Amino acid sequence: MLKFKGCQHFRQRLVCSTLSGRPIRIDDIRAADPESPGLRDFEASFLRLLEKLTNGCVVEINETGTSLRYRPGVVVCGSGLTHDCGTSRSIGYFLEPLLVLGLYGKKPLSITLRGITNDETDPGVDTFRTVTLPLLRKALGVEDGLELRVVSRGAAPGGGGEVALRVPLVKQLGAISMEDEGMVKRIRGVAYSMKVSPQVTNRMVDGARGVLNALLADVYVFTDATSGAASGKSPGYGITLVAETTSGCLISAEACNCNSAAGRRGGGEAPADAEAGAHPHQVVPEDVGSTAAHLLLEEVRRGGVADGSHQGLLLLLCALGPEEANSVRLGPLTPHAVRTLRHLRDFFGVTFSLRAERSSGTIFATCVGANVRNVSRRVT
Amino acid sequence: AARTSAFFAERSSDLAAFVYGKRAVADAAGEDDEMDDGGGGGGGDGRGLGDVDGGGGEGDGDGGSEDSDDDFFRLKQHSDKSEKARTGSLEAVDALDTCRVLPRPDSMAAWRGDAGAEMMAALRNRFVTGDWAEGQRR
Repeated sequence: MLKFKGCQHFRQRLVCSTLSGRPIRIDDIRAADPESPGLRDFEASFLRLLEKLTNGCVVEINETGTSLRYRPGVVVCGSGLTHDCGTSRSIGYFLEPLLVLGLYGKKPLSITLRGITNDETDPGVDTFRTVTLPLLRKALGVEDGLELRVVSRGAAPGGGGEVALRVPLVKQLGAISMEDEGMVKRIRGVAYSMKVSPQVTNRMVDGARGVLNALLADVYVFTDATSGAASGKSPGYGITLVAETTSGCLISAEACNCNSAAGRRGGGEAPADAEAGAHPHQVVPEDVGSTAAHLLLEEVRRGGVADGSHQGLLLLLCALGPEEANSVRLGPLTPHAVRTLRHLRDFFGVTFSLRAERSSGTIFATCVGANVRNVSRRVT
Repeated sequence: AARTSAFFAERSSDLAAFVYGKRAVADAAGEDDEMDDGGGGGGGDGRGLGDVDGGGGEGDGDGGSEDSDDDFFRLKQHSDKSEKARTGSLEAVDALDTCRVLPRPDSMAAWRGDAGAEMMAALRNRFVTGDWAEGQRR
């Protein structure tokens, strides 16, 4: 039994517990929060999703919801599943663990998720479609069956978006070796809008191009202005930018103007200054575009084969990989990645060797994987 | 520099100590010391890798026998750690669970104006439109 404290890294703890087969116990979940201690609705929702995907898992929660005991079951997955993600967190919160769990199922995963497709807290569905899935394909060598289809979009607070995810099975992961970050050769992106003037998407593209064209001419941003049934229940707009390098790495950044009430994200967890900085009071679509462009340049400046929001996933895949050298090159580690490294050591006993290259400010992370195999997959 | 070290682990020499100096697992013993030792980078050097392996093996061995119901459902009495939990730092146990990098206001402001132009110029060789020989050196 591994013991943890607090709600940080909630999803990854449960995913690692499921994949390693080790039961966990988490205490003091928001115990210091006088107004609403314990698990939030999105965490309960994630636990329900986990119960849908696995057989025989046991979840025990105490009366106040501040303590949780989880005994993992067998990952089953299967097709025709649906899950309502609610409106507290976006679909991205649920997609990230699903992508990893789905690989280790008994049957291929096919699931429909409903909720908010793009918000400020979690990676948007466009990031998953254009960056995370290609990263998985490249890192794992899986070609078929990995697909994310955006049926309809939905902004906060109403939600109403829908995506369909398919994840294939693997027997075991392949070795990952991604050390060449290359040079940025082109920038692609998606500018989306829900229930606002279609012109807004073009204005965001203008804002992004205004920054990026100084460095690169090959900037093309697709526009996706949705209305009617495909646009969910609330208005909002945003942009996702992806830089492709000569070595095939994808580095992404996103910005959006989706009206999220302060209480929606669950009070006091997000650093308040980050929120204020990203959203000055008057935001025009051009600002959203240029903010995304600046964020993209910031990610390129930091270097590495993946952007900051994909460091944790890449490290997790390395740790699950075969018992040979898995190596990746990353930019400065984000807090999420540092916590991921700590959890990987505790769950799988995988310790990365970290070598920082001072001239470029990047980190070479190398590990011998835990060789986690898919035990529930049917032998044919 | 304070911001950088708070947000990104950029140091090189003690990088491993910075990452692995603290454990994710809350041990029954010693966990309060961990909370109180300042939350800095190299503060947890004493808890080296050998310590970790020992802890992991122990967890494997005794399954769930130490975990009893009465202390699972015990009342939470003290809630004086709210300040720490809200800081959003690396050691905050209730930190927001997201992999997305939330933009900092000062990092965004750095890209505007003259300073921004300098930073763009410094990035030129990371793009195919720049000097390839310089770019390949990385």
